[in-house]
Amino acid sequence: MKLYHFFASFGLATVVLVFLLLITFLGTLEQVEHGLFDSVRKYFDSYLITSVDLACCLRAMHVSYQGNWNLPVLIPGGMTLMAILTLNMILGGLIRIRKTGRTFGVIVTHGSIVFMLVAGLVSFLFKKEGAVRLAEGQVADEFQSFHDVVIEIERLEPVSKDGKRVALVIPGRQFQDLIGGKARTFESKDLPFDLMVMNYEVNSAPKKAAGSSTSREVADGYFLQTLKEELEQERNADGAYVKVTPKKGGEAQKGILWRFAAAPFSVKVGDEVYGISLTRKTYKLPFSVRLDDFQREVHPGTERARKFTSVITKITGEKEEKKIITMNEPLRDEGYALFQSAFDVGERGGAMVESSTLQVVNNPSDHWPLYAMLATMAGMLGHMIAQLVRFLRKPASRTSKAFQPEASSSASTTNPATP
Amino acid sequence: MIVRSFLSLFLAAVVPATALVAQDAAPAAPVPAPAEKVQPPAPPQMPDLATVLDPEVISLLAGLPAQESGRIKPLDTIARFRLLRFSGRQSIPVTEDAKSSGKALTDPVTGKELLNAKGKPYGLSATEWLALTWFRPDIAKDLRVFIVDNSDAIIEIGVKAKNKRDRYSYNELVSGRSSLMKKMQEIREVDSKNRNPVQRALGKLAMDFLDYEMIMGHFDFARDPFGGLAASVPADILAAGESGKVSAAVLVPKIQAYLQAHPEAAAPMNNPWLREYFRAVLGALMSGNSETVLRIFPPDDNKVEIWYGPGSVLQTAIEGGTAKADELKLLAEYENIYRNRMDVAKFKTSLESFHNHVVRSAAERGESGHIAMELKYHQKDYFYYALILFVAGTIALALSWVAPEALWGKIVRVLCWLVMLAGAAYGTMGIVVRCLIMERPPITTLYETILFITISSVLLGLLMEAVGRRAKGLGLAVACLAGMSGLFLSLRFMEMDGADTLQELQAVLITNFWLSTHVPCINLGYAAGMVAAIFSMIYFVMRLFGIAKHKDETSKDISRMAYAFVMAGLFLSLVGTVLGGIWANYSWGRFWGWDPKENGALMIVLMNLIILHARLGGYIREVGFHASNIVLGMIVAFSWFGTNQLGVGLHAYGFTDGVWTWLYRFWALQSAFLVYAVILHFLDKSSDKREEGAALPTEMVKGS
Repeated sequence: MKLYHFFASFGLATVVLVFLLLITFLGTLEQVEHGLFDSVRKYFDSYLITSVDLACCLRAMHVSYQGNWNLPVLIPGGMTLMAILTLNMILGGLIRIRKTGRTFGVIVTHGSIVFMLVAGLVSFLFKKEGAVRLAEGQVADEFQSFHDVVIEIERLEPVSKDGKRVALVIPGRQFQDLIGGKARTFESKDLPFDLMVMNYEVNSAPKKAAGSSTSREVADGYFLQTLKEELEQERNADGAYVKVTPKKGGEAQKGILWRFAAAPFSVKVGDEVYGISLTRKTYKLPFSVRLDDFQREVHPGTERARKFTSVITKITGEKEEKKIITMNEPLRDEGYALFQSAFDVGERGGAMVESSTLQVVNNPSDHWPLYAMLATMAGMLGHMIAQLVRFLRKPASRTSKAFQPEASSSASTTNPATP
Repeated sequence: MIVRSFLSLFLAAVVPATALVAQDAAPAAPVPAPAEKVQPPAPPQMPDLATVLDPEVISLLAGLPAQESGRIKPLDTIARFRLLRFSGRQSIPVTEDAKSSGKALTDPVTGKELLNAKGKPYGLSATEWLALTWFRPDIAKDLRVFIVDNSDAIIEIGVKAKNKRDRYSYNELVSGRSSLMKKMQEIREVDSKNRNPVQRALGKLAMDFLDYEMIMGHFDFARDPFGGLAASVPADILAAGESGKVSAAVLVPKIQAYLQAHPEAAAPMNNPWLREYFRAVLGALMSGNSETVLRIFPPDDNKVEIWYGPGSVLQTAIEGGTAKADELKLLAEYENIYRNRMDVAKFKTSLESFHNHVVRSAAERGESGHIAMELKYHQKDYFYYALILFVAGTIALALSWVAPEALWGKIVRVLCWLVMLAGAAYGTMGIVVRCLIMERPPITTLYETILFITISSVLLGLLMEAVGRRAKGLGLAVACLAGMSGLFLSLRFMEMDGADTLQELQAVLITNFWLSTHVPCINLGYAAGMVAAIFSMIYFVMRLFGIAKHKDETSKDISRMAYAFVMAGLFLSLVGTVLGGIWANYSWGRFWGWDPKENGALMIVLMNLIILHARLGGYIREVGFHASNIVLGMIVAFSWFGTNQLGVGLHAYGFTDGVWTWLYRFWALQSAFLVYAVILHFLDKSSDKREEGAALPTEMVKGS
């Protein structure tokens, strides 16, 4: 019971909110030097925060402070706080609260905020998000995640009979911790070899190894040079070393996987050829998309964008439909939403070709925040209006009572001499 | 189009470089301004100042449609913001000390003092200043147009400094020109975030100086396009003795043909006469920035989106394109205005016919803009007069406090009400006119948030006073404080920014539905938070002077009103923030991205929630509540201005130098309130104890 009272209390609500305020502030400031992705991971997608880069926070606020100042702390992370807050709201704002006409609006508000947080959790867990880049004329039926790193192993030869491509995938969380000489071996009954992954690099560039240096890992005469991490996580070029050891014996082969490699690292084991690549997780779309035309408008005489538009064709089997995707007007179909995200102009065969990048989102809780907000608005407005009505209805007795002493006190101040 | 803008960018890069090259070639000589480069036979004739400033002439120039930064606007707007950027003001007196009461400047041609019809020195509007600079560059050189915030910058370039913050004329600075250009090159190497105040001042001065040279040399293409080197121009282009007599519209195709036939002559740096022509082109462009070059020739072809301008037509000669007939025709008409400068009647008719031509063509293209409305908007200067009214209201309110219950106090209070209402109405009108000009909802830039939040705060304060029976002038006080400080801030902000405040929007923002829901909602949330904080500031001030006492009726009234605003602020900022998320979700597929501006809004919501729950839980009482409101105000200021200054995220739409300084000043003031709050807290605690001990003999209490 004591525990229940604790979790339902105003005190807990206040403390959790103060912590949320604090981490929001720090998580905003750290973005200046650590980038959005890392700050979000450290402050908001986390359970515990163990350090604060105070030097960065000071510099973000234009205090000229050179040097490092990493303050060790122990603050609950965004996930923990939001979980406690949700619990607190359910226990205090929905269960323990007195249920009368007066509190109806407040209960609705609490309920809809809980719903909004749940929507956030659902989207955090189940949302598929990525992008597809299309040159004019190109067709695609899949999109790539922004952040989810995977290693894909695909049999290239012999090609399977039904023409379908099948790839084995190692999710990033199983090898992204392999930094600084660590290694792990993966095996599968479908593969004729064991794959050892080592020395994962978050941002790197392949370089030709000069001389016979033994201090670093070298494969095929190349090594991965570690680069400083980019502020925008999407721009990092990660890489790793792999060693392929055939199960039936034979010489192990070493190779480099790099995100922007032109072709997968290919190994021959027996009669089969496998391609191994470090890439972003790929999702299938329930339909294909062809970019017919990309149009870019700017405000005349400036570089300021006025409108970006992709004219596309949605292809489902034999059926073709013309669609337009432009800023603020995505294509929503079959649970997927395609947004105009970016564009670039490149040369292909001597001609300038425009490419359009479409952001693809599949989110089960897509519309939930809207419902939650409408309910919140109704709840809060209801509460406020009810208060106002009560205030206006009661005034006769209340205000006159309240008014009396005030009137007398003001009389006494203006005429202090009156006996 | 791409090629064209690329070349303009190239030109933009070359502006300072050409100036430098020209300077380095003859470092000892003071740099001759383009106008002065004309060599004998005769210097160009200068029109009488009264002709240039003739009201009809000025009205035609002011209302001339121009395309700048992607928008059709009157030339007057361009002139205003140029002058504002140079001098920090939108008007300028023709006097020696830059004060309207000062001694009038002397006309270099006649040697007489420059006085208007009333016998007083001229006070120039922005368009008048532009006309003077175009047609009388000799006088323009003595106008003190350049504001320098830090006199150390002046000392750095070897010129005699005046006050710490002062205005300088072109002639005062010209001796330091070469060192100014060298400094600019150095400063360019420094990242703009790391520049010190002197470097910032020098960087700005160098840019302004070059732009001013271009404006003064605007009609050089008609005066003498080859800057005194006419003799060395090939006869294919210009026959002997024709200098200054041939129209530029005739020269352009000839230069073009010549350069195509003689590619070796096409490098401006190696070919002196072409370099001079290039200089004249820059003057005609009037800006080194491709977005702000002067574009006043609407193309006949509707498919051409970018308007031509005198500079762009002259530029075609060097670029190797072919100037179109409509471009050349307009150039000839435009040049004609200059050629007729010595004859008042002809001057006016040629200007009028050019003006009418441009207006007609613009209308045919469906690009008339809202020229008349915009001219009026600037003339009326809504926010300046609203500020004056708010100041008057504040004075009236202060006077009413002298004797609140006397007849005199009541009259002054009514006066305060009237003045504040008038100010709010004036400010609202300004905001509405801005919406009408741009045909979009009220808030799209940081500057517009200041206007909107200020006027809303004033209206909220007045509303509180009108409906709250216990307001007792506190609502008025809030309205006065918010109106005065907010509009003062808006003026300072506009001056610091020095750019047209009516800006075209980036593509992602062009959705009127969200711009008219999410944005005002969030901003009203800011306003409510600020008003709550102002109430709390008033509370602390009243406690300090003993006007309000611990737990007395006045204190309770202030708390109640402030609480109402915290509640309203919670509703508005919560709904506004979620609306923003929904906009983001429907427009680019993500509800929440932890972007700084989003986080700022979230911090306001959280602080409102903290205040609400802490109060309900009894953790904060009177002083604690007001102290929390002060923190709320600090958070609002951070979200409002600070988050944009971080330079990261989607909402980084208003980066302005010097904002941090203001933010820290505000925080320092608020921190002082917080310190006082802590002291008050302990004082109140001990007085509560004393009350509890009131039953005890007084000696004992005193002794404790």
